[in-house]
Amino acid sequence: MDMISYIGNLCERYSIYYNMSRDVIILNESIDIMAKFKDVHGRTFLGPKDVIDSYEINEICYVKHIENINVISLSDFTDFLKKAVENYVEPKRDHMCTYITGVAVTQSNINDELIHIIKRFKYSKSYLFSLHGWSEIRLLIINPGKEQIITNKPGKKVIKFYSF
Amino acid sequence: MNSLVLLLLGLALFFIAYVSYGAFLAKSWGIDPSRKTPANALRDDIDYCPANPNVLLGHHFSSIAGAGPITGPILASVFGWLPVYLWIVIGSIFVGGVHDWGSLFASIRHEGKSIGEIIRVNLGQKGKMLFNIFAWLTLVLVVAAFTDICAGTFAFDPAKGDLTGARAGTASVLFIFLAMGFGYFVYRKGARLSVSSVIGVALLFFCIFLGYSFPVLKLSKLAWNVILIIYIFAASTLPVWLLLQPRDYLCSFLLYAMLIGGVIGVFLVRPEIVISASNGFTIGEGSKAQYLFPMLFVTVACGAISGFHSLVGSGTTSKQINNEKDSKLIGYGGMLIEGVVAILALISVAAFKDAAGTPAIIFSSGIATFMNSFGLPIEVGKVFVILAFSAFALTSLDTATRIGRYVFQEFFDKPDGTTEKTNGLNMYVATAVTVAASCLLLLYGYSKIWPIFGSANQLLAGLSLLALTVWFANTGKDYMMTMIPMIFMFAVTLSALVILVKNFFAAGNIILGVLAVVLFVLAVYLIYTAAHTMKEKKSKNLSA
Repeated sequence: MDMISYIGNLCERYSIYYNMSRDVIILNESIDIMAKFKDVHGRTFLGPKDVIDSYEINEICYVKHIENINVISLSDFTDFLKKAVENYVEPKRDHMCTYITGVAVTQSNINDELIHIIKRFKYSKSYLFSLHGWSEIRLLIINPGKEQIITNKPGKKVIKFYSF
Repeated sequence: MNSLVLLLLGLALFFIAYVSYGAFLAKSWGIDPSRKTPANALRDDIDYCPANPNVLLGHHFSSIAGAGPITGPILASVFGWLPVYLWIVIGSIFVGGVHDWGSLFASIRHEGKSIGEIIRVNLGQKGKMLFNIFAWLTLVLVVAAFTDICAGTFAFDPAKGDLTGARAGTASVLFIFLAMGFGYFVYRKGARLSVSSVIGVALLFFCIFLGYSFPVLKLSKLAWNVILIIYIFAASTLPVWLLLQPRDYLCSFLLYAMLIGGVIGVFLVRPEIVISASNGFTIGEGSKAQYLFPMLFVTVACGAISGFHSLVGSGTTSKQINNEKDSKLIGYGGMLIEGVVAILALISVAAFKDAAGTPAIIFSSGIATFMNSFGLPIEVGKVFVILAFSAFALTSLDTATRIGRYVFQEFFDKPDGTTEKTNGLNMYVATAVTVAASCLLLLYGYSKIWPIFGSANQLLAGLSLLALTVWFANTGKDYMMTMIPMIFMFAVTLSALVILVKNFFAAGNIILGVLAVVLFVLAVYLIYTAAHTMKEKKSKNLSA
């Protein structure tokens, strides 16, 4: 599958459950797709407004097309994701977790060194001893031409969504 | 009389009622399998989402099941086993089942709004405030009653040397940490739910083993009361996913294991009922006198009918019903299963002449004896059943505290829905006030509070039945099936409150006496307001 078709497919999938934007500049970084999802769970007493407890789970996905993936460009991308955590996660009482999902789509070869770095990549933060929730980065590097998906450990949970 | 007969007869009657009376109600109410439910019509995959009926039955049953169906029949057994049994069976079939299913059905036909919301909308602003006061007082009673029940169950008395309470208390504390660890690994570390569940259940039984082998928490009732007060304060303010959600999930395995074990045990042991079938209409004398009517019907609440079922249960369940025909299984079937739990509780007290202690101790001793028939040591069985019982009591406790806190915060809302800046809005202050009010009542002992809680709970049931009756009448449906139970429940509630007022003042319990008077006045006013408002609406509808 070529990259344009793959990104088009992703847009269709995101549009079902996510609020999606195309071709945006975020934190001085050019992003092909940004998709946000917010899921609020809660128990109510008498009516829907009488919420006695609730918690929210957020996901913000950033899909970026990287022509030539290498250690430096990957590092730039993960730095961007870390900045996104600092800027866009809102810890509060009802916040359970926010996943920042970074998807780098490339047509270049993903070598063994990169695969090793991606698989070992780990970034997670707790807020007020987790009482205000936590955040975690899911990292996926995808080569649609070779139908290859490499993820870090948290990224494995969403691998099905990004499959071809 | 053999208890197996009671259990089999109960199961058979529930089955026949489910098939016959259930079908009759479905036809009378016009249950329409082809009609779109809110879960499909308003589907957003957040609140409104169709669910498998069997899974939904499990969720609904977990949310309506508490310590009530166990405690009520045991306390009411002073009247003899026969009236309690009849009320459980008849009540579950013709009163509680109709109430629960009707509330769920009404909610489905009102875009998923709960019956409580429908009542409150019909009460107006002043009525809403009074309803909140009534609800808050009831919740304070619930917190006091269940705290005392749990503390009494876990307490260690050095004079008696019985370690059952200490064992169960130790296991319960371990269970709380296990639940938090379970939640941490599943949510935070992303452990697979299926694998974690198997390990969690195994560790749950390991907690029972540890509590049984090393009962280190040999504490007095007062100490347990203090610990439980601190616990409910924390549990009511901590994020729900950290403790409540994983604990409730693991609890459901305990409930099903206990139910299955108890039923199999009764089948194998087939114990004889040894307490009297009936002890007459009046028990005790003077200010301590208890009358079969109305006290039996407020003491056995959750095992026959409970107003809280309609408030807590129907709010979320109705938004997930995939097909109207599923409402029978979930609304009616769920209540009948609760009736089975109540019958088991009755058998556990009726099969032993020397049954003594708190309801949890009596229930656990009975069920543990039955489960001993298939090899589970009695003492281990006791700890297991008490753990299950206390887990439900704790769930009732922290849910009641959370709702109490919410209702208290709502006192400070302005009529337009915005809030005033006061300390009452602060979550911690609202929780502290609710818990402190319960502590005051704790000083009086839960057995004295229980009938008031029962009366308040049954009044909620009566109001729900009133809303259902008016709705059925307005839509041209047969309303006798809800009107007769409604009249009965109002008669029970009001006469119980009058007797309680008389008894409390005669015994010098001024606080409880005043509380009962306040509840009585609120009850009369709420019945009048609800009936009047609904009648007015009906007139408007007719003239329009």
